[in-house]
Amino acid sequence: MQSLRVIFAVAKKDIATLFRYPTWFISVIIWPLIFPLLYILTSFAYAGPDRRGLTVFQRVAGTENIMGYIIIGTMVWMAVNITMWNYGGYLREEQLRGTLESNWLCPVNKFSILLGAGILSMVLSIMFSLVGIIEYRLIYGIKFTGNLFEWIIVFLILFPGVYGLGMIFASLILWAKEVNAAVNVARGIMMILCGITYPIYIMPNWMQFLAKFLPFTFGIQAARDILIMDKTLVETVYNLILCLGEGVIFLVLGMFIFKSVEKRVKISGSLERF
Amino acid sequence: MEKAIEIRDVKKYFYSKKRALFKKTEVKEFKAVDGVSFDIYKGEIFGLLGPNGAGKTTLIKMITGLLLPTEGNILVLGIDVVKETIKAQRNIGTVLAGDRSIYWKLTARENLEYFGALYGLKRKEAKERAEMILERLGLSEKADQIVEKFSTGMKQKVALGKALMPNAPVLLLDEPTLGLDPQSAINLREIILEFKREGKTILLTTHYMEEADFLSDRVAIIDSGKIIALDKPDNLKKSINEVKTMKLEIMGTSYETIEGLKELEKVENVLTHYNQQRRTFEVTIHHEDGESIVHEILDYVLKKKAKVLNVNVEEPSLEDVFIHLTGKSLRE
Ligand SMILES: Nc1ncnc2c1ncn2[C@@H]1O[C@H](COP(=O)(O)OP(=O)(O)O)[C@@H](O)[C@H]1O
Ligand SMILES: [Mg+2]
Repeated sequence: MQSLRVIFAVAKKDIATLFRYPTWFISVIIWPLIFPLLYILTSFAYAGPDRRGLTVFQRVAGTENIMGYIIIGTMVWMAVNITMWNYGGYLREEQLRGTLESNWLCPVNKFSILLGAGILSMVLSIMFSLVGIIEYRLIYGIKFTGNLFEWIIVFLILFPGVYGLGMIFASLILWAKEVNAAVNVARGIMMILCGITYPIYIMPNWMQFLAKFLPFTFGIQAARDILIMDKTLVETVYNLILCLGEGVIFLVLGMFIFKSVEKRVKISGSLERF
Repeated sequence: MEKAIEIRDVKKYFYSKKRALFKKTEVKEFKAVDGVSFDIYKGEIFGLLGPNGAGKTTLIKMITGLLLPTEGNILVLGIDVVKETIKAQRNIGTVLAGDRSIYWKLTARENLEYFGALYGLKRKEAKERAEMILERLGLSEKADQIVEKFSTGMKQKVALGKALMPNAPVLLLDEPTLGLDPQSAINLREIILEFKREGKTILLTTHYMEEADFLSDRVAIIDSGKIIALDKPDNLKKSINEVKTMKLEIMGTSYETIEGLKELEKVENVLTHYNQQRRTFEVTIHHEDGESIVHEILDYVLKKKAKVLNVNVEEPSLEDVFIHLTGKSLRE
């Protein structure tokens, strides 16, 4: 009960702060439009003037709906990315501001603070995705398949992985401030591995192997199956289960890393600003 | 008397690694708190006085459970802070790092209600308590304004308000008046005395000797991680009764000339501070002899063709106690 109250209070505070400075709202409208455009236009360029090349890509990707294919990939990626930036940097940001210690002084399990910290990123991710879907439909004319229930399932199976990843990053960045560079590299590698604009089997074997350790690889696949390929949940159950299973492992790993970092900073005293 | 806080042989060592390419990493040990023991009684204001870097904040952080002691035990109301951190934290309200410890992008009220939630208050309780505290700290009018625009003194008050939310019996205040203008500092000291009247136990750190003297029932003087004296302020001052303090303001001289004063017999300590504005040297001299030495000192200065603007023979202050014990001034 007490934990729920803490989680809620943290989320409420973050959301209140965000809404007080609403310039971010422009990016919610603009980014979902711009981000996939880069890949869509690139694919058109490679396809040649009469777009003959697209048939090759369609065969590789397994769908006629190339734009939809790219858009789903970039949409999931955007959610992952927002989480890594916002949630991943959360504790460090509190630390730089000077408020982290104030939170740590309170008689609560510090893990509830971390849990609450992720909620804003989730809300933002959902907002980006919703605005995206509306824009793609209206502006790009994409036809989405599946029903609301299936969409929610897709979101839910992606949730633990995204949340867990945020926790892992939040903890690591707090522990070793200089790992920021490493985090950026990790971000880049993940972006390539999980196949946001191409099927992963076009990558070399060792890369495909690594890609299978990321829940997002399967999550993106499942999202494509449901949202543009008109498959049922049962038909993509393999992707759903792997995404969820690996996601839960990410969550557990996140919790574990947080606990160990929590202990370390108590010894090194690196909760304060620098 | 009943003990509120018990500190037993507490040490905190920090280790820093020096990494260099192709060389073995060196581990350097730094003793921030080096074997400290004392008790704080229920209902008293206990002052921890020491210069910057003495280990005051480190000690407070160990009491609050933010830092793990390298060695030793800390009990707050009988609860071991290391073993039962959360339980101990319920009994402590803390102000650390003053104005930076609150959210500048929230209002004063939002700050208090937020921390109320983290201290386990129910929504309604948190609202009522926040209202009461805002009133009491004189923040009611600005309660719903964003903290960002507040003065340092007001931010400091919000930070204090946050520490009051749990209505905990023990208050830890780390340099509560740091950076405040004199009037706000006086206000805050009044408020701290009110808490004492309500029966709270207060540990207060400061590097202002007047503050420690004025507020504290007992003072511990800390330097380089060690407690070098602990008593009532009056007793501390009495303890150096045989030491007399003389303050001079001199113009047209140099540090070297003043250093020469140390050669005089019965002079114990000479501390010099150059006042940029007045272009004068403010010299504090500790000596063990009453009358004749005043002559000798003035003689010496006049012989060096310096101009004496002011001579004061003063009662010893806590700063003098510190100087007597360490040979250096608190403000360095
Ligand atoms: N996390 C830390 N790691 C390494 N050294 C630290 C850390 N925190 C404090 N110190 C050092 O310990 C000493 C005591 O610091 P502190 O307790 O903040 O002093 P005070 O509050 O009395 O000014 C200082 O020399 C400071 O540099
Ligand atoms: Mg300090």
